[in-house]
Amino acid sequence: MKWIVIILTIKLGLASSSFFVTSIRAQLFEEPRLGARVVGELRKGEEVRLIDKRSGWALVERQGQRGWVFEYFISSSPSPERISLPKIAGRREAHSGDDAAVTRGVTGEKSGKVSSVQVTRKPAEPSEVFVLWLDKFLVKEEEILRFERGEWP
Amino acid sequence: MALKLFATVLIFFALALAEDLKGRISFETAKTILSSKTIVKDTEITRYVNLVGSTLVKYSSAPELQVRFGVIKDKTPISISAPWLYVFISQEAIKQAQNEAELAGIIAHELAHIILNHHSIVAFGKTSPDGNIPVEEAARRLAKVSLEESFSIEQEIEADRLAMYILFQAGYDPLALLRFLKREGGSSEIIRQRINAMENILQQGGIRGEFKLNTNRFLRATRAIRQ
Repeated sequence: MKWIVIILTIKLGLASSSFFVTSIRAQLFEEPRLGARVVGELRKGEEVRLIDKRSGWALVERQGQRGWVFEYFISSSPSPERISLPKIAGRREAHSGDDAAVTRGVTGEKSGKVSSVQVTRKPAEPSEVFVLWLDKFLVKEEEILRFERGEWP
Repeated sequence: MALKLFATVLIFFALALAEDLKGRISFETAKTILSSKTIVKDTEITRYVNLVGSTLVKYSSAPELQVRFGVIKDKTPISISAPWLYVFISQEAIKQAQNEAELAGIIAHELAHIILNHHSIVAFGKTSPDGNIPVEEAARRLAKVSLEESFSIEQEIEADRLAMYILFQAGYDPLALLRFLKREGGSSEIIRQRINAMENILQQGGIRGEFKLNTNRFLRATRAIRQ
């Protein structure tokens, strides 16, 4: 399976010679350096044509406009909207000293997407309790926007 | 056209499966790290660090990552990560930072290691572990890389460079990490080379623009740690 993916990815990449912007936004510079004039801005998923590469920078063309972008910010395959990380649904937060912690047994749903984790009773490991505690701090997009506007705390 | 569509669907399907495995390995790696490091269970500072970190993720080259950020007790200014979902920063690193941009610089460097798959490259010689390695074994090896800071100098420099770009895109001062390292990084050969590499980037024409430091917000949010 892995080799099929690699071959198909390479074939698609070569066939179209296209690259895609992976960052939500990426500045397009006149020259390959941070201090250069910004000539445009690329958006996530936008398709660009790679023309050249130079020490961490990529010269790309988009609708006739050329510019340099950080090499890291483009990829030969479009990045997924959201990586399907195991959503730990149905679990509760375990507390220190609790004798029932979460044991992860992955449950598959349609399309093979892992979306939940079975909960069984087992003595708690403190490190697991702490890792699970961090889940409640996952930040939503609107919280980031408020934070960027300085509306915090 | 139909073949291309089919291939694209197949790629997405395979990537989804691979990312699920990464999620499980990441969880186990974080557990292993936290079995030797104590987390600071302070809601306010953890919320703040997650807001700074998530802002950086948003403007990084991997905005789809759902990274969790935690503060750990350690007497040295360190940051460590469990690829691909957890970044830990020490209380001491927060104490020594002078503003939000410097904190963001430290986090961005760790995030860059994750995005560039450095842990996996050191542990397995490739960007992600094989599916036939048990999750616990993969996690043990990744945690070892993190805790022993086994990255090469080239990887450290590459992470610094990406960190500067992420800071730039997020609107933070891209020089913040450089300033922090020069002031608090010590005098080791690795730190010296990292500083030189970042200064070389600047010598290629400086950096243009106005960037944020958010000093007041940083001092308010980290007051408890500084007391």
